[in-house]
Order: sequence, then structure tokens, then C-alpha cells
Amino acid sequence: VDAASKRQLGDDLARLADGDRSAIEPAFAALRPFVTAYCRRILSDGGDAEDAAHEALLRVFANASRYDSSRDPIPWVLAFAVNACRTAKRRRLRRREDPEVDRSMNPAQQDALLERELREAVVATIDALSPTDAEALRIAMGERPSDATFRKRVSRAMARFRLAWRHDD
Amino acid sequence: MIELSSYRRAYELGRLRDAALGTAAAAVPLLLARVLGHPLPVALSILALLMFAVLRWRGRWWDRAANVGLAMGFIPFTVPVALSVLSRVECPPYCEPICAIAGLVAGVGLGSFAREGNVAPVLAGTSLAILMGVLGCTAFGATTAVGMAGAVLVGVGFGRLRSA
Repeated sequence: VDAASKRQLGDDLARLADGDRSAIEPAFAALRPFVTAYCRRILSDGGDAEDAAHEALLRVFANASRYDSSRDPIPWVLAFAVNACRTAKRRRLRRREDPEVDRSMNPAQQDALLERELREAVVATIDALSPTDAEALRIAMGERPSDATFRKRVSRAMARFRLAWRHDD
Repeated sequence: MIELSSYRRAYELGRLRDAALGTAAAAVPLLLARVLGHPLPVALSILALLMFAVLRWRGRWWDRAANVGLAMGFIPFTVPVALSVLSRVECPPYCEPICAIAGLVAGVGLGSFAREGNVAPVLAGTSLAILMGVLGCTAFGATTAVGMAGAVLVGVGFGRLRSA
């Protein structure tokens, strides 16, 4: 999602939050391909992805009056999509139709599989964010950048610090 | 377009849910006044809450009018209720002028909103404030309630002039 589309989507959602019904159509036009593509990435089955996207969009519109216009619209929308995809995955697990599910799996193994898939969904969501946000979240989740990169950054920061220190003298 | 209609319905239901939640919160002081023994006309209370809910659901200027109308209406509602509950008499001393002054203050508050808002939502907000004031002042007699309503209208005019 490019910056202009993101801004437009934020404006449409803010108008919906305010009660402007004329924003329903443009918001739907912007959200549908984005949410459907996201659900397709998470759920391999096309039918399930369509259903999950429909479910997610219904939740987005049902909660549109609660959208805070000061917030980034993408994570707000993606939260509904992640939940809808999770529900679809769980439903599939219950039906035991997931190709990855072994019929002999016990409930604990099924939970572990769901957990792994959820982690993948979270990573996919983070990847959709801006590089700065994605990096901040990765660090917050304990995923440090590689040691070499980290050392290089610290060394550059130290060099800038020394320079500033000498200027103060 | 059948698909879009289901999203429209979801949106309207979401707005209705939020309006209902806001109305439930607005009903708390009315219930409290009733519990404390202040006589509140049930039909008028329901009308005020229904009006608030519809304005909130409608959104945009109507939503803002509902919030301003309710907030300003709480002035002529709370002051006489507090007076009668604390003094434990049917019409405490100076109940008529107190209602009128509270109405005037609410009207002045509404006046600054009236300057920015469109006519219809401003009228709706003013009606809601008057309705709330009537709920508080009607226990002191119909004349007091009418005087309070008049004071709100005078206040709106004054507030508009002042902020013009």
C-alpha cells in the first residue's frame, strides 16, 4: 500500500467514523483488494480466503465508527483480517480439512500447528508495515538485527557521540 | 451491489450499537436522580434518550449536536435535581430563578456551537438540552419548566451574538 492510498484509506475511515455514509463505497473499493490479497497470503485455499476477507470486511465496517483517525489505518484493518484468518484456520482444523493436519494429530499438536501458523501471520503483518515500524516491532519481539549490523550501528553512533562530545568541549 | 449492502448493514448496526452504548451511559444520571427520589416523567426521559440515540447514530453534525445538547442539558437538569435532593423540599427557595439561570447558562454554551453548526442539528441539540432541562425543572411546576426552556432559547441567541 503506497503512502497516497494509505492516506486516502485513513481519510475514508475517518469519514466513516464521523458518520459520513458516502465514504462506504470508496472505503470498500480500497479495502476489498487489500484485505483479500492479505487473506490469500495467509490461507492457501481461495474459497476460505474469500470467506475470511468477507468476514474481516464486515468487522471493519461494523467497527468503523470506533476508528481513531490519529492512528495508522493499515494495522487497524489488518487486525480484523488476522482474526478472520485465524478463525478460518481454526474452523479448517476442526473440520480436519487442512492439508497440513495429520488426522492422527492430538489437540496439543493441533494447537502447536495453529500457533506456528499464527506466528507466520504475525510476521506477514509486520512485513506489510513501514520498514521503521517493522524494525521497531521486531526488536520489541526480541528479534535483534544480526550482530554485525548491530555492532556497526553502535560503532557509528559512538563515532557521532565522540564528535558531539569534542564540539561541547 | 448486494455484497456492498451487507457491509452497509454491518456499518449501520455498528453505529446503532455504539449509539446504544452511549445512550446507556447517558441514562445513568437519570436513573440516579430517580433513585434519589426526584420525580422524573418517564415518557419525557425515554423521549430524551431516544432523541440522543438517534442523533448519535445519524453521525456528523447530528452526533456533535447530541453531545453538546446533552452536556449543556445536564446543567439545568443537575442543578435543580441536586437542590431538591439536598434540601428535601418540593420546591427549594429560588427554584424558579435557579432553573432559569441554569437554562440561560446552557443556552449560552449551545450558542457557540450554534455559530458553527448547521441549522437543523443545532435545533436538534437545543431541543435535547431543553428536554433535559425540563426533566430537571418540571418537578417545580410547568411554569418553571417553560421559563427554563425560554431561558435556553435566550441563551442560544445571546451565545450566537457573543461569538459572532
